[in-house]
Amino acid sequence: MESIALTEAVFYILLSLDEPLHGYGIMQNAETLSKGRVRLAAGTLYGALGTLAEKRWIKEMRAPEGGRKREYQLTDEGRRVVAAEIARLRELLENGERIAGEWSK
Amino acid sequence: MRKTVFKVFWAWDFQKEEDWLNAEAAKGSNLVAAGPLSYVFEEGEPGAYTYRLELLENLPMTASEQEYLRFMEDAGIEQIATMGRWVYFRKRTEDGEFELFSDLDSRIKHLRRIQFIALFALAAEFFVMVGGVPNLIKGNPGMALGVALPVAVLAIATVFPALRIAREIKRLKAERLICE
Repeated sequence: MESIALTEAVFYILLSLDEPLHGYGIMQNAETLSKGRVRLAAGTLYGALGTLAEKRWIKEMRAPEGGRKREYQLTDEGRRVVAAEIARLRELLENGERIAGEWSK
Repeated sequence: MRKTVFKVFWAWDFQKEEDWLNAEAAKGSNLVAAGPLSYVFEEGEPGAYTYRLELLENLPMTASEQEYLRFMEDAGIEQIATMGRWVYFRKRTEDGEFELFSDLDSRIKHLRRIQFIALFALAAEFFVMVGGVPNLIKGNPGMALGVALPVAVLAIATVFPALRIAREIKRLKAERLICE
């Protein structure tokens, strides 16, 4: 199985889409989760959402009526990808803390 | 209170253009319309808006770009003007920091579009210069030099920005190898 590292922007986008959410909501959620560190710019977000939809990790909800913003949501494949990513990040974190933890001693 | 300013920026000087628009906005002159040679500003509150420029892949009226522009609108970004494939966006500064791209890949992609314009211009200029050679051979130097020489000067002037963009893209790609 190929090992793919997601960008942190994509990781936070996927994390935001358990329930349907629109673009602006995703931007705000990523900023809140990262305590202001991750700021998704609109152009970047738009490109990422397009790619994620193509890969079928998220789905675009049908265009909403009454001028409400278009929403996106995780697919089952997207949820699998998030789980795999968390496992990968845990491996990085465990190794990092174990090895770099020795450096200060 | 409106004012019109006549100014021309080359495509590859878009960063200078953006900096200029933001300097004007900081003083309270907000861009409301743009033409090929002119800009229209409206007097307003100093520092109220941040402006950004983007060269779209296609003309703004195409379906895919309309979708993109609507997405931007949903994100609170106002489309102030278009000029060919260029879009002028603005956002209220009180809404927070406003950038179009927050990762290297998007920035590289955007620069490549502009690089294409520079290279296309270079190719066209080269084509015109080469077109002058038959005239030179036929003993018509006046005709050849009259056209080819100014274009050659233009071509030399275009080479520097083209190189500058290429260097910038290379720098971003190198950085991309180690981070996002």
